[in-house]
Amino acid sequence: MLSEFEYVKPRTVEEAFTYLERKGSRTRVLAGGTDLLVDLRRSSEGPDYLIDIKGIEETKRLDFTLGVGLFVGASVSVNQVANSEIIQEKYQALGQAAHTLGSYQVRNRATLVGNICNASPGADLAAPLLIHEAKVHIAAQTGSRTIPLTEFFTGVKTTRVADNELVISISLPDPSPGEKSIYLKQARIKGHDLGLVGVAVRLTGHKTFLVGMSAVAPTPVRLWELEDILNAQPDSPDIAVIAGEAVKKFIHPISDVRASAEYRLHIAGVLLKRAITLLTLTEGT
Amino acid sequence: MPEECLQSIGKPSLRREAREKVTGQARYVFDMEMPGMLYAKVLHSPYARAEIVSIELAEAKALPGVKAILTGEDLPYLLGLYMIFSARGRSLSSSSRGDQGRGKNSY
Amino acid sequence: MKVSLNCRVNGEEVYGQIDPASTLLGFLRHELKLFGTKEGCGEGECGACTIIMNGRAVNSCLILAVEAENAEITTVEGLSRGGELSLLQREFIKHDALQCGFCTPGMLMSARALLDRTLDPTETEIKEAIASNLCRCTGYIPILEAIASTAKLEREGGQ
Repeated sequence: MLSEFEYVKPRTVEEAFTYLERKGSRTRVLAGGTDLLVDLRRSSEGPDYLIDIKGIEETKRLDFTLGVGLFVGASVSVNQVANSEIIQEKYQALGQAAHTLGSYQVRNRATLVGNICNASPGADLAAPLLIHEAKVHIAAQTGSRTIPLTEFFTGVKTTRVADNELVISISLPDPSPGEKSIYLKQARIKGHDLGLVGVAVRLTGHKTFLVGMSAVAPTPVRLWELEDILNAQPDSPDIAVIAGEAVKKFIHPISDVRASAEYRLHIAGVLLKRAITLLTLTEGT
Repeated sequence: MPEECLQSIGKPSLRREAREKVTGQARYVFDMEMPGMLYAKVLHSPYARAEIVSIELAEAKALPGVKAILTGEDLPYLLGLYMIFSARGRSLSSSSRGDQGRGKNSY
Repeated sequence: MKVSLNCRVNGEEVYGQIDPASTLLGFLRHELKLFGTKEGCGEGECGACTIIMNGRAVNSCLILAVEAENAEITTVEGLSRGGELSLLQREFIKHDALQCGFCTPGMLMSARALLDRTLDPTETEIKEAIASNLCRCTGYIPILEAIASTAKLEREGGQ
């Protein structure tokens, strides 16, 4: 690696702030490192500081409180998310998505928060988090704030996190009883691959659909207008087919090395139809 | 032929160097270290068949740790049986930009 | 500016003064001269650099050496004890689960990490464990067989 940087591992968030305040734009945050190290290798210009947040206790928390919801600290790995029983039970789409991210080795290091902060348009965990109404907790020396994930992404690989800020954790509200969610991802191969399209659908106990997608726009997105259409007729026997067609009006995928825009558009419809079929199929049992 | 008569056909044959490979002892070229050694990387053309218009070396040469850059200019001869490097002959100075050493490359 | 590093590699305490920008892979190979772990891509895609760190299979090319402070690390060199090949290594040889051998150290470590998790992996779990260990030679089948066979033998008390 050509970069020369100072590596620091603060014990507390406050300590982390001192580095961020001093040289915000010249620091990078290190959690899992699975995106960062690839980045560092590819550029000849590097940060001044690398702040390893894995020493901050509160970032390691992964817990669920009945009536409150799920708390995922910034150091929690994707495999921890994939193997979490409570996530498999209550936030199925998230657990499923975690299993599709990267490879087993990568998942042992990559973090959920890192996946969001890297903000790839195809971020695997983004769509499930969006449909489960995730909130992002951002902290800085000047104060903390919480914003909904739906307002977090601002563009390709850009977020609302300022140079002097740190994402500490993500939280998800406790879903209502009897909910189901699903994540389907189309990739070129079964193994380690970026998603051509990622689809997450949630059906609440009140028969409300929430739909999120990745790799169909500059950022991962909630499909609000599509949800309105579906939720106007949640009991329709053709809802899956309707959804599969309607979605094509609301997404504008691009062509890139992995797939053409036409393919993405088509497959988004297919996956959405499949997702809703699977959700409504098991709902009655 | 009855199977008992066969010594090699249809019989497993243990790989001689397997032990070194499963213990990490096997030495590949990539594992060799010599004092003062340099590491080379080949920059390939992104096009299978194209004309080289120019090769700009200044920025690459300025990077820390770069000891040398070789182009076809430095190797104007046949390597082995098949490889011929192009852009041979003319120097690539800005004064003769209109008439630089042109070459074709093809895989 | 170098920083210090203390960790355990294959059961031995190790101390080093390292460049913060160096990777764990680089440290293992160039400082400790443990050349068994290979670099195939440097980007966490090929799995040749797989090692076990604190009980988990990880790509050492994506870990800074400094992150290994106080860590417990096992590389392919740590699989055999006192010159004796482990059961896993013997099964790889027996099932011809290697040809050029470049992917083999990474494969062995992914397999070892899997078997440390469960001695009764399903075929899907075996495939998932090595899904990102790329092999250009064997076509993977002998590798899957070697791992499944080792699992069975270890269940029966083999080592």
